[in-house]
Amino acid sequence: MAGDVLLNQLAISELLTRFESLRLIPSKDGDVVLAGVIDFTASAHGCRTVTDSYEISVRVPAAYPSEVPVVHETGGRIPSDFHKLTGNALCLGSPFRLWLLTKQNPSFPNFMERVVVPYLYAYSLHEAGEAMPFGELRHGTLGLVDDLGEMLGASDPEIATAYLQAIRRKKRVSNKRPCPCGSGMRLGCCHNRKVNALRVALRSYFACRTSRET
Amino acid sequence: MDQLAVVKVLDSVVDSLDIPQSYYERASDRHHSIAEWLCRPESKLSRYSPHVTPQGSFRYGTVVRPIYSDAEYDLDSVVTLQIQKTAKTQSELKLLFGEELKAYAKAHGMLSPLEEKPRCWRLHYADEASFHLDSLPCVAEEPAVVQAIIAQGVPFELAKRAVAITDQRHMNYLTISRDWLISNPRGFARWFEEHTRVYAQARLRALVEMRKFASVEDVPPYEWKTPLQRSIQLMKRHRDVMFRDSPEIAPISMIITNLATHAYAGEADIYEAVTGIVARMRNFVSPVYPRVPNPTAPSEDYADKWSKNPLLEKNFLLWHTQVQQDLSRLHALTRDGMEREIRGRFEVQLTRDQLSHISNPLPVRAAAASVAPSVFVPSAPKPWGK
Repeated sequence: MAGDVLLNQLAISELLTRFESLRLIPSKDGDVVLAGVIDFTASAHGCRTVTDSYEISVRVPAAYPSEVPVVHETGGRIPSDFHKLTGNALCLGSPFRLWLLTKQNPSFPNFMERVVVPYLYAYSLHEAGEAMPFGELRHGTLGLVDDLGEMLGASDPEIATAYLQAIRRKKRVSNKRPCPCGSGMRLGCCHNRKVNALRVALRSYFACRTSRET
Repeated sequence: MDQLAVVKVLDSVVDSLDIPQSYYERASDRHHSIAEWLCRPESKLSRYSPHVTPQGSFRYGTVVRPIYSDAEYDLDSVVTLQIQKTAKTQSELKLLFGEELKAYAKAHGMLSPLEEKPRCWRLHYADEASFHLDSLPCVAEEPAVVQAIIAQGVPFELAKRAVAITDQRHMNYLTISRDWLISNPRGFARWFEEHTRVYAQARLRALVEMRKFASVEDVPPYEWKTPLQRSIQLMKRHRDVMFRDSPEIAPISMIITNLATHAYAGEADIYEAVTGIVARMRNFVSPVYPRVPNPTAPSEDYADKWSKNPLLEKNFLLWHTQVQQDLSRLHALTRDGMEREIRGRFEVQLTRDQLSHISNPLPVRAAAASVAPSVFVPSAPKPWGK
């Protein structure tokens, strides 16, 4: 992608205006890198407002939004046993959810405000011994299943698993079987839209990952 | 803060980026010294009437003091020879010229060896301020090429200065051929001076009235100090600081100078000038080859490396985005903020005196000004971990 297109699409100017202490770093590999201090005031339903700042670096891959930005906290404040990935990058959410979010809205300021700021906000509250406003996922595969279950509106892990099985089957086959929600109707007449939409999104997600790895 | 205060600050910044006038004078001496050497009777080039002209930022008056005290200043010169392109190969001409420069270095007791670059030779001077001089051998272009350039809309006065240059990477470097790379450094310098001089008139007249120069024609470009030249200095310094750890991928000065000259609209003060230039300069980057043409030889592309290395274009855009952002917030800064920002972006330490016309707002306003962006988060991804 030409640098121009990526930079325009990222709306970097807008981001730099909003987060004044973040700066662009010369790019040695085509990724766009920002580093500096991120200042914010954040609030959420039922949680107190927090004003805080973190030292961070953000690497936006040249393949954004097909690839998700990688964020590090560089001030040594967030310990590695909090939600982090290998290499100490912040684990901002399940990879599929982040991918979906950037696909739906590739604006980079949006990513910062909807993903990075909430993560840091949650850590500020967690650090103060308070509950995390948006909850957290279990580490590993179980967390991913929970996350998909939540997208389908199924809090019961068994129902969530049944949904995932429905997604794995072909649409034609799946629609003729009973709906995992337990309504007694066949899926094709019940939660088929939800299941089909997620099947399409997941296939595209995995296709994207496979093409990247090969 | 009123705009006048920002203008004063930026003027102070550029003043401190300026180099001592003696450096310009020394540069001029070196060009003369080489010209004399090449024209002396024993010179192997004297029969081709070598014509030495200064080039680059020393000629345009846009030199910026380097960030590091041990950094070298770049001097550029163009040595034009009156010889047919088909009389010698590019390689023969380059080597012949190199021999003369080698003899020059030896005769002047220069210790560092002459260094060969793809298009020029580099002489290293060792003084209290180190210089290196890149000397570009070239051949006056033939009339047909000059006509072709005129046909592209370039005035004759500029087009006639077009030259053919040698380049080790050129496919005909080792063979006799009419096909050499076309360049026009002297035409570009002329073009730059034409676009700059009109804005220097008042200062030129003042300098003559003060009897510092005999006539306006005698005032060298580094004394013009137009908002365009000073804006270029400011942008180059911002670039130097941003790319201090990776100068090899930084936007080159010739691209900044070229685009800025196109973009300058005659603004009278440096703040209006530099923000105006930055706002418009990207419009002068062509989407197709040549991306940043020499206006006096349109086939010469100052951004010729962008096609082979897309990182260079990307870093130009990153720099442009950042400099635009940094300039746009200057007028909103408090005195302390301005001191910090100027130190951070330009590595210039302003004195208390230079900052005196910027007010520090009352504490209430200061608190309101530094408010962080406020985000209400309706929902967000839950943190995970492998």
